[in-house]
Amino acid sequence: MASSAEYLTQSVADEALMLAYAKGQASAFDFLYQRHKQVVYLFFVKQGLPIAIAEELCHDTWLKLINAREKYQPQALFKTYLFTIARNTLIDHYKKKSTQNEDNNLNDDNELTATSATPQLCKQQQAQQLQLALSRSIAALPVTQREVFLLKQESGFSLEQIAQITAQHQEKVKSSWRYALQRLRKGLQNYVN
Amino acid sequence: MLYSVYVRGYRIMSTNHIENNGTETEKLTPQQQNDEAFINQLYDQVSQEQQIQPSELLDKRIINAAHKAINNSNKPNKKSHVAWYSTLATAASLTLVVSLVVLQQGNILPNEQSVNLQKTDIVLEEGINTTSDLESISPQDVMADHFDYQEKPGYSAISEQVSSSTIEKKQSATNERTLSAMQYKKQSKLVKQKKVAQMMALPPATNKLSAELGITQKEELSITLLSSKKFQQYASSNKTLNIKNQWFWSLLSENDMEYIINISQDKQQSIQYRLDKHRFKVIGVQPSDSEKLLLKNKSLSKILILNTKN
Repeated sequence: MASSAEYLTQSVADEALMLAYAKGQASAFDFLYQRHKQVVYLFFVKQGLPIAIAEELCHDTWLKLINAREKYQPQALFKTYLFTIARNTLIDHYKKKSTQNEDNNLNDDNELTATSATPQLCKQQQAQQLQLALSRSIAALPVTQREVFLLKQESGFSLEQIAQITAQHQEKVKSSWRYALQRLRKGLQNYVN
Repeated sequence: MLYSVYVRGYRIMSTNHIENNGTETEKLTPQQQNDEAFINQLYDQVSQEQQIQPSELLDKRIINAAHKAINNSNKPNKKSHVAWYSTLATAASLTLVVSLVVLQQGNILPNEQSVNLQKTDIVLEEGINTTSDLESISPQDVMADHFDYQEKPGYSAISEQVSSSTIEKKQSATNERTLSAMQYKKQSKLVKQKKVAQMMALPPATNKLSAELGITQKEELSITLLSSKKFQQYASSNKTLNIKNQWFWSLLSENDMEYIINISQDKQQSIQYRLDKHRFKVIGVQPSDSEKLLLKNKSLSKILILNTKN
């Protein structure tokens, strides 16, 4: 079993840490959490959910991972496993809240357009405005496109890994990715120098 | 200008992507590559400002939950003790139930039908044609077990259809039931003999009906026991006599073993008899209105006596 010192070196793979945690090494989880907490959190925040709900879903995701520790088998990358749980948690949330209407609205062509990127604004203000517009544009994407986009752009998964996480065909994932890019570019065109 | 920005943005942001999916970017069309670079550039612009982190409270909740789960799993499992006790309790309950069932099986009486088989041989009647009454006393299915299909001409058609093996099986089953009934009867006879011995030891007043009628046990013993032959004589003579001169039977008393009856003929002759309950069965029959007139509404005017054994 890896010692705490080894965990600090970041050389121990996620899978080994998870196995160590499953065997009772609680500190292994701490390192796992530190490595991935932000990407998981961002995955929920970028869905356009309120911060409180995003945190709750984040908590649920990690709790599911904790409860399933004894069943964990390193057949795929740990990160893939973690995001599969996160995605399922998100789907459960949507089912609970019956967000069918919200999804329909999101499917409409209601992209946000950059209204004003005035040159008078300072650089920091421009960055904040861009950040806001980007978040809104992502939140306005259809669910499947948003999911693929966030997993690829924010979490750094490959299309193949996303297909694995979402249990979809890789071509469909690629298509969602392409449409998401087109839609975002159309909405954020004015923000590029 | 835009192109150069795109190239720079793509290179900066796609370091991770080249590691993961370098082949994927090769398959993308120029348009898609352009879009991807555009987004990467946007991310590049906001990445320095973007420091979104989960709250410390959330971090604590999750890490505490993780540590608590490990601590709980290290504690001795209480479920194992519960499982041990529950298993023992289940086994004890099962043993108790099985033993009770086994004990109860020894006390179950033989089938009523098997016992009744012994009572279907001969039935005699007095005063009234009791063919229909007899059918009501002995169920048809019981009677059928005693029919000899080969000897009864009325059933020859049926016997041709029934295979010999079926008959053999049925006969063997009947024999088994008869044997068990005989065993039961022997046992019940022994029990009754014991009861009679006990009754003999008791004072005569304990037999209420006898006491009411003023008949003591000594007197009972002095009364003649009615034999089947004598009974048949009475029954056959009644068939030839008119109703005024017929013999009438009235029940005086009974005990566990016997009936005490009075046989009279138009008040001229009156004889008391004891009837063995193993041989005779007494059933009260209400006289018809015409008979009541003839008998001047006297009680105990008529009883049906069935001779159940030769």
